Amino acid sequence: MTAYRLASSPRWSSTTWHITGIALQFVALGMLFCSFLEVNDGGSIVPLLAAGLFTLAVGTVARLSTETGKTGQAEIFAAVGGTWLIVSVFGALPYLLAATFARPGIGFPVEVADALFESISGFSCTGSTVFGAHNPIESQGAGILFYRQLTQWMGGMGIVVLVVSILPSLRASGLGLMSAEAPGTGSADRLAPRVTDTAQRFWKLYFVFTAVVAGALLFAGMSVFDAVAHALTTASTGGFSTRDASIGYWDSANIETVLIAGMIFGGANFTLHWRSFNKKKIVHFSDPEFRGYLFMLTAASAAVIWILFANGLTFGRSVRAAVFNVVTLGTSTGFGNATSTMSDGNFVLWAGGAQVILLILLVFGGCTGSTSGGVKVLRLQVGLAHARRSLRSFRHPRAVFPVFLGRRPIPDSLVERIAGFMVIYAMLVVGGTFVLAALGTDLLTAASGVISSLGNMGPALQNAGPTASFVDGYSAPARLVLAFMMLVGRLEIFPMVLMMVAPYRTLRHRLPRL
Amino acid sequence: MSSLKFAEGLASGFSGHETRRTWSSWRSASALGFALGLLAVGVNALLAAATNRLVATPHGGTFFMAGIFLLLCGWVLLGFVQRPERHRGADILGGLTVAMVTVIFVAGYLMVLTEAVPSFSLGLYESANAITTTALSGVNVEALSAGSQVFRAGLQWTGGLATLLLGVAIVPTLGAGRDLADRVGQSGMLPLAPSGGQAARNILFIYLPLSLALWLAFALTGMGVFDGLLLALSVVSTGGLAVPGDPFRSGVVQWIAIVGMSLSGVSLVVLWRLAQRKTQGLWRSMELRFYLLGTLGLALLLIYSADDFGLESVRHAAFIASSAISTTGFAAQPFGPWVPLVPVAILCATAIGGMAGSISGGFHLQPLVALVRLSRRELLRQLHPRMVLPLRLGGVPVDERTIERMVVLQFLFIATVITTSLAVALTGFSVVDALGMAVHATATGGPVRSSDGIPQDPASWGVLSRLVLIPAMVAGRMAIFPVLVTATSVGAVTQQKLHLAGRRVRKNLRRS
Repeated sequence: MTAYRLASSPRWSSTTWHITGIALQFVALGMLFCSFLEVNDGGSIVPLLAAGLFTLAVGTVARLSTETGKTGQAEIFAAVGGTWLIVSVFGALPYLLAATFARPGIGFPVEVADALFESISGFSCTGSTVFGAHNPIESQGAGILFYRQLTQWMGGMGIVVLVVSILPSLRASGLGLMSAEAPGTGSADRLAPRVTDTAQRFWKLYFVFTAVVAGALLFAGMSVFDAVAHALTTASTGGFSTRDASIGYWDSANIETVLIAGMIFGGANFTLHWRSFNKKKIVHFSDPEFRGYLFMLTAASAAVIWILFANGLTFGRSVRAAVFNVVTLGTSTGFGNATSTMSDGNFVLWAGGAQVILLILLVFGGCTGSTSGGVKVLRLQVGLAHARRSLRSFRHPRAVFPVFLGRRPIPDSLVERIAGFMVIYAMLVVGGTFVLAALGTDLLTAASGVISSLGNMGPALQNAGPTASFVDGYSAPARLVLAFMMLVGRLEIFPMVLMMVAPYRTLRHRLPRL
Repeated sequence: MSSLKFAEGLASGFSGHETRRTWSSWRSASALGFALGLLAVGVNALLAAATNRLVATPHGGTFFMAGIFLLLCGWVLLGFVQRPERHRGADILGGLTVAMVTVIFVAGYLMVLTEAVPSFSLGLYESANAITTTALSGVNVEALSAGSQVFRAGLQWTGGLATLLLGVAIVPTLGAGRDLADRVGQSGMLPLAPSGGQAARNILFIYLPLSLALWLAFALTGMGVFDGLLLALSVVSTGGLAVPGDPFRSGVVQWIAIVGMSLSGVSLVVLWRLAQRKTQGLWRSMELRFYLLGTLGLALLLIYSADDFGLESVRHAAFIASSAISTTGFAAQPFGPWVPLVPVAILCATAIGGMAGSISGGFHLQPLVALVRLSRRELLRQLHPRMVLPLRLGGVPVDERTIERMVVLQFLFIATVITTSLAVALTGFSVVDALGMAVHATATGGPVRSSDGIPQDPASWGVLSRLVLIPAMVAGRMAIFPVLVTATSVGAVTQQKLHLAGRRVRKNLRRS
C-alpha cells in the first residue's frame, strides 16, 4: 500500500537518488543472500539481514519517490559520484552491525573508519584491507567473507552500468553515465546500438567470465566456496581473498596459473572480448593498447625475474614470484602469493630495482574498458606519442604531426584531455602524499599508498606490503584519505571531484534571496 | 670528392678567394658546441693555474698547459667552422648538449691528470656535478689543491651562466615559449631579452655583479678572499659544492648565503626589473608569490618540526629551506627532529625548484602554475565541453603550443626521475634512496637525506651508481628538452642512414 502510494504520488526529480535507489536495491539483495550463507555457516543472521532490509527499504523509497531529472554533465557527475559514495556508506553497514572491526583499545569512530575503508576498498575493487594479524580474515563467517567478495564483483563492472542495464528511461544519458563511471565504455565501445543492450552485454560477458574462472579454480584445487569467492574478485580485478595469506595460503602453482590468466583477461578491454566472441576469432592483437598492455607485463616480468635471479633466487622461484606479482599489480588486482613474511612473494623484501618496477606498474594498470584501475595503458601510449611529437616539432617547427596510436590518428582534443587527466593525476599523487605525510606516514608508505589507492591496486610498499594490513601502515584519518582516493581513482577523478557542482547549483537556485 | 675539397682549400688559401662552402646546420652547431666546451674548460684551467701559481700548490703546470692547449684548439675550431646563415633551433640545442658533454669529458680527464680524483669515471661524475651545479659531490674538498678548488668552482659558475643563457636567451626564442620571454618592454621598462645577443649582455650585467657582491660580502665576514670567492661562486650558481672548513658555523655567513641563494632562485626578469628600480607590478606575479611563500612555509615547517622557535633555529630553517628551493643543496645537518612531512616537503621543494628563468634547477614554478591552471581548465571543460578558456600566465595569454610543451616537460621530467630511480635501484640502492638520488640529480639539487634529515655522503656510493646519475644531471640542468631533442635527432639520423644503407645493400644483392 505504502509502495503503491509512493509510486503514484508526485515524484521528486533527482537522477542521483533515483539511480542510487536502484543501486542500493541491488546491494541489498547481495546482503540478504549473504545472510543465508552466514546462517548456513553457523553464524548470526541478524547483522546481514538487518543491513540488507534497511538498505532495501532506503533504496526502494529513494527509487519510488524520485524520477530521473536533468542529465547535463554536472548532473551525470553528481549521479555517478553520489551513487558510489552512498552505496559505499551503506555497504559498510554489515561490517558495523557484525562488529567485524571491533577490537579492544579502539573506539567506535575508528571502527566506523575501518568499516568504511573496507567497504570502499570493496566497491572500488582496490583490495586494500584492514584485516590482518590483529583481526584475521579467517575469523569471520562465510556470510561476511562472501559479502566482501561480492562488493568487489559489483563494483568491478560498475554499479551505474548495472543500473543502466535495467533502466531504459535513461536513454541517451545512459551512455554519458556509463562513460562517466568508466571512460573506456564510451560511444566508441558500444556493443549494441542501444545503451541498455550494451550494458546488458557487458554484464553477461562479465558473468560468463566469472563462471569460467570459478570452474577453473575448482578444477585447480580450491573448494567451491573459495573458488566462487576468488572468481568474483578475479573477474573484477579486485584482489580480496578469503584468507589472510591471500593466494599464498594454497601455495599452488596451478591456482596461481589460473588466476594469472584470469587477471590478464580482466585487465583487457571487454569490448575486445565481446568482438572476439562474436567473430569467433581472436581480435585482441589488432588493438595497439592490448599489445602495449601485454608488452608491459612481459617486459616487467622478464626484468623482475632477472633481478630476483641475480639476487640469489633459483630460476623457477624467480619466475613464479615475479610473474604472479607483476600480473597482479599490473592488472590492479592485488592478490598476494607470499606464504609468509619472509617468503619469495613478499615483494617488500625484493631488491630496490624490482620494487621500482612494481611502483611503475602501480601507476599504469590495465586497459581502458576493463575492470582494472590505474592511469591505463592507452593514456601512457598517447602520452608517449604526444611527447615524441613535441620533440619532433623542435626539429620541424612548421610541420604538423598528428598523434598516432597504431595506425589510428588520435584527435588533438582527446590528446589534450588525456594530457589534462595525467596532470591532475600527478597532482593528486603529490597532494595525497603530502596529506598522508602530514598525518604521520613515512615517504614511501605514503606515496605508494596514494598511488595504490588512486590506481585501485591493493597493496603498497614499505609498511603496507602484501603481508601487512593497512592498519599497520596508516592511521585512521590516513585510511579515510586513502578510501576517498580509491573512489576518486575508480571513477577516474572527475565524478568525485565535480559531484558537488550540480547540488551546489541547485541549492543556489532554490535558496530564497535574502 | 675529398681531394676536390682539399684542392678548394689550397686554392682559397693561395688565391685569397673564399671558395669554402658553409657547413650544414647540425655540423656547424655541433662543432661550435665542441669549441665552446673546450674554451670553457680552457679558461677555467688557466684560472686554476694562476691560483696554483699564487698559492704555490702543485699541478699548476698541468692546468696551465691544458688551458693553453684547450683554448688554442677551441679558437682554431671556431675559426675553422663555416657557419651557415642561420642555425636550426634543434641544432642549436644539439650544439649546447655537445658543449655540455665536452666539458664533462675534458674537465673530467683534467681532474684525473691533476689528481683531484683517482679515476676517469669519478672524474666524469665530479665534472658533471660541477658543470650541472648539482651538489652531490663525493670529493674531500680539504684534500684538493687550491687550483682544483678554483677549477671546480669556476665550472659551477660557468654552469650557472649557461643555464641562464639557455633559459632566458635561447630556448624561449625557439618557437613555443616565445610568449613568455621578456622580449618587449612594458611601462618604460627595458626588456631583458629583446634579442639573443642583448639577452646575453643583460644576463652578464646581473650575474657578474651578483657574484662580485657575494664575494665581497663573504670576504668581509672574515672568511678570507680565497674561501669567500669559492663560496660566492657556489652560492650564486646554486652549485652547492662544499668549501674548505665549515664556513656556515658563522651566523653572518649563513645569512648572506640565505640571501644569495634566495636571489639565485628568483627569475632573472625580476632581478632585471629590480636593477632598473621598476618594482611596480612585481608582487602580482603568482610565481614570485609561490616562491616566497614556499620558502617561508618550508622554513616554518622545519621550525615547527624541531619545536624550537629561537633565532638560531630560524636561521638554520631558513638556510635549509632556501638551499632546497633554490636547489643549491648545501649539506646542512638537521637542527632538530624531523616529522614525516619534512622529507616529503624538501623532496618536493627540490623537485620544483625556483622560478623559471632563474639559476636554480628543478621543474620550476612557472610550469607548475601553468599546470595548476590547466587542471582547473580541464575540470571546467568536463562540465562545459565546448568552452574556450585561454590560459594566462602573469596576465599574458599563453599559446597552446607553449602549454603543450609544459605538459610534455612534466611528463618527461617524471619519466627521467623514474628511469634514473630504476637505474640507481638496479645498482643496489633501496627504493627510497634511489628515488631521492634521482630527484636530486634531475633537479640538480642535493643533498640526499635519510628520513631523519642526515645528509648522505656520495663518497660512499659506488662508481656505477654515480655514473648513472650523470644523464639525469645533464638533462635536468638543460631543462630536459635539449638533451632529448639531440637524442631523438641522433636517433632519427641514424635510423635514416641505416635505412638508406639497408636499401643500398638490398639493391646490390638484387643486382648480383
